[in-house]
Parts: sequence; C-alpha cells; structure tokens
Amino acid sequence: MSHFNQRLFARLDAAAEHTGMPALARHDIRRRHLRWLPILALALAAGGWAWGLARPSTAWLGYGAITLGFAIGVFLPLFGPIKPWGGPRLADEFDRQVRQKAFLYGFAAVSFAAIFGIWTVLGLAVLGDWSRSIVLGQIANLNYLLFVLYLAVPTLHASWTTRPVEED
Amino acid sequence: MPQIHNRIALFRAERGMSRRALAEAVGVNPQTIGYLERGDYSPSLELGMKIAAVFEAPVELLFSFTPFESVAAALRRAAE
Repeated sequence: MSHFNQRLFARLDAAAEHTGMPALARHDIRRRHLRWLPILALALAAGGWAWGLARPSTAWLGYGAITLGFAIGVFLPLFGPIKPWGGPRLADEFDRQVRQKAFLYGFAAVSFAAIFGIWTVLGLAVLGDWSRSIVLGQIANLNYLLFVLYLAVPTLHASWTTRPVEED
Repeated sequence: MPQIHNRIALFRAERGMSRRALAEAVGVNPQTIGYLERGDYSPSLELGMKIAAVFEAPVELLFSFTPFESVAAALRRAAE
C-alpha cells in the first residue's frame, strides 16, 4: 500500500472514530426486556394521533405527543431484547426466531394501521370538510405514528413473549 | 407445534458444566441454553445434535416429545 493510501485510510479511520459510532458499536450494550416503555410510546403516539383527528385546529398538540412517543421509540431497538442484523453480538437461532416473529407482528401492525388510518383520515376529511392543509397535517401525523409503531411493536412483542433468563 | 422436552439441565449438572460453557461449545448465547432448559424454546435439529455430541449421548436421551421421568421417580423404580 502506498504512503498516500496509508495516510488517506488513517484519516478516514480517524474521521469515523470522531463520529463516535465505532465506539458505540464496540460497546457491549446490555439488552433487557422493555415491557412498559413500548406501551408508553404507543399510547403517546396513538393518543396524539387521536387528538389530532378529534381537534384538527390544535393538531400540533397531537404532533407533540407523537414526537414524545417517537423520542422514546428510537431507544427501544438499541436497548430492547431484539438483536439487530449485523450487530457485534452473536444472534443465534433463538435470537433470529424472536426477531423474525417480532418484526412479523411489527409489520402487520404498521400495515393494519396504515390502511385503517388512511381511510379514517379520508372519511373524517369528507365529513368535517377539512381544508387541504389540515388533511396534509393529518397524513403527516399518521406517517409519524407508523414510525412509532415500527419502532415499538417489535420490542413490545419480543419483551412480552419471552421471559428473562437468570445467569447461573 | 409439539413441545420438545429435554434433559439438558440434568446432563449439565452431572458434568458440572455451566450454561456459558455449553453455549460456547455449541455456538449459541448462554441465554438460549436457559430458554431451552426452561422449555421456552425447541431447538433446531442441528443445535439438538450439537448438544447431544457435547454430552456424548444419543439425541433421544436428551430430547423427547413426551415428558421425561423425574430422577426421583427413576431411582424409586430402580430400588423396587
């Protein structure tokens, strides 16, 4: 390898280290069963979405609640029981089965909510004679809710269908 | 799917083997051995055969579709 390439790769490595992501990847995160946090995230997000539908003029309050649910939701895959694809720790056959089932439920929940949500928004828009901006806001809220579902439902499923094993 | 009963904990105790040691020998996480012993998870054929190989025992001695007789019951029966 040429001297130029060595220096280039060393600088690229240093730049990558500077982001802090390699350190996070090396760190052995202790995963645990999170049984109540996903419920809290989902309750906030679903409540926020329902609030926005019920009171379109103050839908921003609902948006705030969904954001809170999302803020909790982003930490669930990091600290929950589901091991990610390509993670630093071994995902054995049990982990893969748990992950497979959890994401099956997660995607089913997202699909169902998307179909239910879009028809609900459409129906309420017709009944309430909503303006274009309100409809766009409601669709944005629904998208945000789907993100929270994607983050929280797999962790919720994996946390409730398995029980922690004590160390021997 | 029928539950698969196993005697992993018994074999492990007999050998004085920790979950971690068995897990390392068969290439899984120690928690997975715990889930197997508790009956929460049925192993793949590959994992079942690997575990049997570690204990140098036939697979049917370790895994069964019907519950295994308890050690106490087996001892009582042997004494009769």
